[in-house]
Amino acid sequence: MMQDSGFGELDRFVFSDKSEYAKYFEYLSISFQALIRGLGKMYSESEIDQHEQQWVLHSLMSLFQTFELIELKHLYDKDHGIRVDVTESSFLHHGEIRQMEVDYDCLDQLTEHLPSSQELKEKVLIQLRKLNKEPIDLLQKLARREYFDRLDPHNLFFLFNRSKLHFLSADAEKKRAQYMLFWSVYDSATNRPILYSMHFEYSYRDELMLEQCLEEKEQLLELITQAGRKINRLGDFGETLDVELTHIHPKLIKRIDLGPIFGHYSKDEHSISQFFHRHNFKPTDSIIWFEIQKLVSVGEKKTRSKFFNAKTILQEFEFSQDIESMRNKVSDIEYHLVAPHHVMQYLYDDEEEMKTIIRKVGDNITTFHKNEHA
Amino acid sequence: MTTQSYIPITKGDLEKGAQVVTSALEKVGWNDSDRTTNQPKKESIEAYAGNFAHRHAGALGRGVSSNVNTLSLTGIAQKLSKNTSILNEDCSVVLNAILTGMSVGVYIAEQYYTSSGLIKLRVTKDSSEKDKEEYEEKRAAQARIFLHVAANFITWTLEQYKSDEAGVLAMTLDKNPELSLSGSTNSMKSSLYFYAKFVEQSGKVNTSLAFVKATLVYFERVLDIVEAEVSTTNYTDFFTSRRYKLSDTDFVIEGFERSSVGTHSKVEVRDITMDDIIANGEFRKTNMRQIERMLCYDPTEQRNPWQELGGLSTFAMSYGPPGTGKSMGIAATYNYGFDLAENIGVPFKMLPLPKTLISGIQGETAGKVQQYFRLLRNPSVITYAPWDDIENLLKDRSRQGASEGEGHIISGVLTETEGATAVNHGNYFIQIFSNYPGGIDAAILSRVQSRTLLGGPTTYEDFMALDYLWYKLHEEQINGLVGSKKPPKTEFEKSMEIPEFLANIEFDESVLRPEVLEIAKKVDNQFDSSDDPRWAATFQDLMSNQYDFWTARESRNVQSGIDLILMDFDMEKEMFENRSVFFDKSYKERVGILKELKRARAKEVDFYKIWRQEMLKHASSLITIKSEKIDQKIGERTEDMIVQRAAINAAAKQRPDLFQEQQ
Repeated sequence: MMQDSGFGELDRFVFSDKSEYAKYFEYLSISFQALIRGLGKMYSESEIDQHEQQWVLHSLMSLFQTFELIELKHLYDKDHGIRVDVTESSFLHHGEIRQMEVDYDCLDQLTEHLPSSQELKEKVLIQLRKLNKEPIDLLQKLARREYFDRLDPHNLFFLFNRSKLHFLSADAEKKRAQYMLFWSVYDSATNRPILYSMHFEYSYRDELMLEQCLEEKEQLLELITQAGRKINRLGDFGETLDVELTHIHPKLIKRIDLGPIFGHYSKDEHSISQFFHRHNFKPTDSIIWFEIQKLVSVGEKKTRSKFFNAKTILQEFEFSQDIESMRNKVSDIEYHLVAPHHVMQYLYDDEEEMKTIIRKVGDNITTFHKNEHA
Repeated sequence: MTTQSYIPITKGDLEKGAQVVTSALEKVGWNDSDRTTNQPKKESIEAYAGNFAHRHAGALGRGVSSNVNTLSLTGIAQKLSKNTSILNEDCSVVLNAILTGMSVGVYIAEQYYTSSGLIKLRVTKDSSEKDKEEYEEKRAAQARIFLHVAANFITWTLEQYKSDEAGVLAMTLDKNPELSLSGSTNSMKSSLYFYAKFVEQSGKVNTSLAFVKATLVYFERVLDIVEAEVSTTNYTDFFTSRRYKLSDTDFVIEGFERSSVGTHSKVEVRDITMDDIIANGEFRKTNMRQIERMLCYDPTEQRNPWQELGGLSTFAMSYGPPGTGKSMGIAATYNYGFDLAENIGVPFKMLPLPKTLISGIQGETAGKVQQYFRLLRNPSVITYAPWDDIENLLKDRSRQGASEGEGHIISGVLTETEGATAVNHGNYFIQIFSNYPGGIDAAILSRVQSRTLLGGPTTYEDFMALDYLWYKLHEEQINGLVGSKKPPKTEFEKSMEIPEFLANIEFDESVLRPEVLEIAKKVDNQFDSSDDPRWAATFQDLMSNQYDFWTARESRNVQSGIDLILMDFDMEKEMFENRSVFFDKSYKERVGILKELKRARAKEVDFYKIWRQEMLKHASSLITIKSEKIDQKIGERTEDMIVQRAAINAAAKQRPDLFQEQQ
């Protein structure tokens, strides 16, 4: 299923059986562990990397927690089946996250008439003893109550999330300081989480650091919030930011597109999905794919603005001239793949298509043995 | 050759073009109903107006209501790769080739834009006709330059990539793309659009390999189109006077020269069959047989049963005076093979020697020759390689003024035909054609395994048949045109027929050279040629005494000629009509069937008779070729003398007084 071929039923696939969800969330849980393993491998000891790794880990934990909360909410819900995108994603449909956002916004109204969790638990126990069967209605209420109680914004993954500014270092002589900023989105086109990380330099404005220069800081955060949600090509975003904010000099922007997870729940025509269906793997086995696009500034040049007689410093971004990098307007694209060892064995041995993929992924393959999960 | 150096094209030069091309690959729009053929004036105004409307519509934020269609090449490639993030090898190579090729094109077109002065031309409605014309012509030249450079790079790259595999696929471009010639941007868009349309809508591209092939076919056509128009394009000196080289590659741009061999567009051949040829029975028979035998090649086994049996030549020559049917023979041979191949479903193609083989660049000719032979030897296709008018390419190396390129061609041909690495699996056949075989390099000549003389029609019957073929058509339409004195068909039928066996062709000793006959007579006195092997040895002994070019190779060539005659039988027609009779059987079974045929035929052949015949024929044709130069000189001198004598006689008649006085 192509990204641009519109949305179909499979983007919001609902399982017919409740028990299928339990299996699905187990599959997700295993995949998340694998993903963390794959991501962890690529970070070094450097400060930039450490900051980014923390953010990435935090984002992944939040995302998983969010998924678990959504599962909890609908655990006893007969009317609502959680929508899962089974085309090049295997994550939840973005509508579920949007719903959670709404729930969070209206938390007070929604919980107003709900008894507390303690009360509900007691009622459930009484009913259980009396009737000797599961009181579904009460359990549903209890699940909702628990869900609302756990809606903690610090541990949730919304459609858009942004970190605070991370100060790295300052060079008083050059009047420059280095910062990092992170943000993430849940992409509604692909139903996949995308994490962004930006390392930039700030040249002092009126001798002020960025934290003190409120106007500049506001502008930056505003731009990230506005443009960072819907980045089409990283190069375009970088250039816009560079031109718009004269004191901010982006040095490295990374886009980490997590997923798809290929496996039992992939119903698309992607070559890896087809590989999966050719072989008889366990339902919990999966291949996790993620891509990292990088936009690197290799230098700076001074230009004179057309309208004002002011000199502006612009970054010289490096663009690779192969078709994949050119399309995304980036300096480099890394492909990563995480899979259990036995799945990987089959992958190495498969058709030419798979070999191309493995060639492109290169060293960025992470494998593990199945018992490592325990 | 001028020793002008190349202007390097660096990665940075391509940056600007690469961005434009990328977005065009992502989405290319074109007004499809546009008639953008060879009417640069009218069309460019339309295009200009269209562009204007576009620009302003963009500014105003609304779309233009026109029939602009958009297509996405990256989308097509993703679909073929079944992968949204990584393109498979083929698609990635194709798109990258287009990206780089067109980026180079954009860069060169831009160079032209400044150097040709197009940049300074501003055309308004007050401009003079001359200015307007110059402007349009320069824009058309720029467009052609762009198209040539881009298509040249793309075909060059892809031919190195998977030419062999793609060669197996048969694909044609039914319609010429309607390329726009108003500036390079429009030519890029239109060429990309019609390319995408061909890929997406022809229904021929279902695999990524077909994508490679389609790209080759399409851009070779673009090259053809541009090439045909180059001679009528003005203001191209700004481009042709410079030479460019793309950094980190071997790709060079030298005017409108092609860098690739160019064999993916289907060779168009005149619609001539073997029955349309008069006389030349031996040529027709041997070629039909050769083709039939080549078609027995098994692409999966990569061998040909005929090689085990003998009777398959690799390198043959046909020679004869001009106008005796060489080109007709090539076309008929190809058509014959093409039809049979289609019947039994094997890949068959013709690969003529490209005319552009010799290059002015040091070392490039050798590369091209190698590339040509790589295509020729491609083990997945059966290839017929006719080299017409070869005396121009394979000239005697030792003569004065031979160029470096010629030497490369000859040494290339030599190693590729009989060198250690020249392995023929029985899937290709080179046939060289020449009017003047004496001018061909001696080493090449000695490689030729069999020679057939294309004498053309010579007898009363031949000419009768020739006339008959011509008036037959009129006679059918206008009854009674030829009248009642029409000779019976039986009188000349023999000239039209293709003989069943080569041995049945009458051996006419009178065409042999007298020197050969003389030697033969000497040997005849010693041994009986009809049952004594000593005859042949003695004959060869005498030959080698008299002519130092008679070597062991010649006797080997005679032997292989006799091998061919021992294999003087045809495969049954049914084998080519019904696959199950022969072609669907296992390799071993097929060899068995052919061996049976061979045995049956061998019983009927008079071995000693053909041995003598072949020996004499070979010796005679060799001496003819070798002594062609002397013969030519003798001919000229004789003619001079005859003219002189005739002139004296004529003069004596006119002024008897002058001549009488002398006497």
